[in-house]
Amino acid sequence: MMQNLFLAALVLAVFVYFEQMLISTMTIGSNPPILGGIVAGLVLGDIQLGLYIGTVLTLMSLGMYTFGGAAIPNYFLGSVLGTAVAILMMRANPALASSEAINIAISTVAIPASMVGIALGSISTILCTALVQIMVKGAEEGNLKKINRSFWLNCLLTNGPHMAIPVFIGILFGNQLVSLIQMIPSVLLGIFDLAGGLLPLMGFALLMSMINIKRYWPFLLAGYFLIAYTSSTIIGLTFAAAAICAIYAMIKNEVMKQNEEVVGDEID
Amino acid sequence: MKLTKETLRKIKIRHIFGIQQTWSYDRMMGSGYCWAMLPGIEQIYQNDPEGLRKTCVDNIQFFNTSAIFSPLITGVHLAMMEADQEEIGQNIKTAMMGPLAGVGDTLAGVIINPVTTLIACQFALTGNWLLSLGLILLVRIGWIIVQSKLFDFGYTKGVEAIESTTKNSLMTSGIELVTMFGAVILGGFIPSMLSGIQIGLEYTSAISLEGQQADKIFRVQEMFDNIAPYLVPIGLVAGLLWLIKKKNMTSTQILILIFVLASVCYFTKILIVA
Repeated sequence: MMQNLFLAALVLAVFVYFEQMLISTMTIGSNPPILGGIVAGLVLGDIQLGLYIGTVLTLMSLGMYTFGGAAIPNYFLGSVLGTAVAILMMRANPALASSEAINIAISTVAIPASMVGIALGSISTILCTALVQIMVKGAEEGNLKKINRSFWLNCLLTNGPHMAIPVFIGILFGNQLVSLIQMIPSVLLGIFDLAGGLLPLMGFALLMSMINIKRYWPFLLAGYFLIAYTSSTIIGLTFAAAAICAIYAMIKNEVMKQNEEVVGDEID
Repeated sequence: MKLTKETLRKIKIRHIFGIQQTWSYDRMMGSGYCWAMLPGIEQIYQNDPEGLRKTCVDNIQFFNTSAIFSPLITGVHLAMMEADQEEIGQNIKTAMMGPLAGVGDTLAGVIINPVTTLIACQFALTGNWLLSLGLILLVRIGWIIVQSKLFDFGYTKGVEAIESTTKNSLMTSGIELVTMFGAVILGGFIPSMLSGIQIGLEYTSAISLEGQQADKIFRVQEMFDNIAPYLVPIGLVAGLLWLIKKKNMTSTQILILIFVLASVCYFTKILIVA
């Protein structure tokens, strides 16, 4: 709902700054792209757009997780910038269909920004590594105050700024970005539009690659059956899933108990 | 010397929120770990500056594990430190890093996060942003509670905590059940979320209807729908899966592939997104 881009850029930059620190914890920073989309949508006036962009980015990145600290694209950055640009696109061209704006913003802004996020993250970690040496010095001297102070310096400098600043600049010059995008030939835009709808395939495939399908295929099949052939909703699916797992656990316990009895009998 | 409740609380909060804030390439979670332990180290070694120094140095060493389970290790470590068995505490830290990392990352990254995320996405796609937001906040608060409980569990049980978590039956069967749960949900979610991806090819052919010539448009998608629902997206996911597993494609390569696919389909209408 903010017409003033400068103010919007500032508010979102502050939001990104703090949310990045939560994301760093890797536990209490869950689902940042959807949150980013919602907040950016709230600030700029179109929550639906933000929701959709956040959702597509989330679905794309379902299978991506920083196992042991490996670098992955920062889809939170992508969702905030992407939502902002999509909203600005619609402001500039009210006749544009929202789904088109979404898909185009994803392809031209959100994904590239997320990829750039990898580089930004690396730079930030290098800075962090350098600052950590101060903490180490403090530990070697037994200087608790030094450790504490350098921790805070490090924490405040290497978690938020490298994402907040791009967001600020990106939104501040958002209208210029939209003009640049509008110069892209419509064929390309059409391709981007289609690609945006296909992206969730990638996320799901990546996710499935981490599950032992050979072992768990009956459960996948059960889920498919419930969704494809019954009028079950997602919540209904959750109940069914819980029931199936409980039954499995019960049967397994029974079998294990019987095995123990057999062994017991044999010993006697 | 027994740690006060106040000190324990400070350490717990520092740990949950702060341990990864200074993640560096050389020590990874080590620097954050040391910072989180400071209140306890300060209290225990208040009369022993040399011991304090040595403990700080020991605690700022390399440490990397799944962020979910690190409070557990910290709790146990504190129990050891309190009982003046710092050496054993360090050994436990080092020994438990690896195993817990594998379990925790898989649990969070492959099951818990995706399933909760998918439900949040479902709410989001139906325009229900409040519910989606609510779920996200709920999950985050849930993590804080889980980590807090793990910390307490580690502290009160000490070494027992390690033994009971590595004891095979409880841990592995728990993970197995969660994976099964996740599989059912994914098996249903994936088709329903990708239902818009369909084959756009159509062909017209003249048919006679009640004696009159007419052109009927046949949609190829209907043929597939008659066999089973959602075949197209499932087939595509299976195809991508094969590329990932057998051809070792990276996610960036898949991304490029999707854009190539989109280019082809834009002109040929093989695939459309309804």
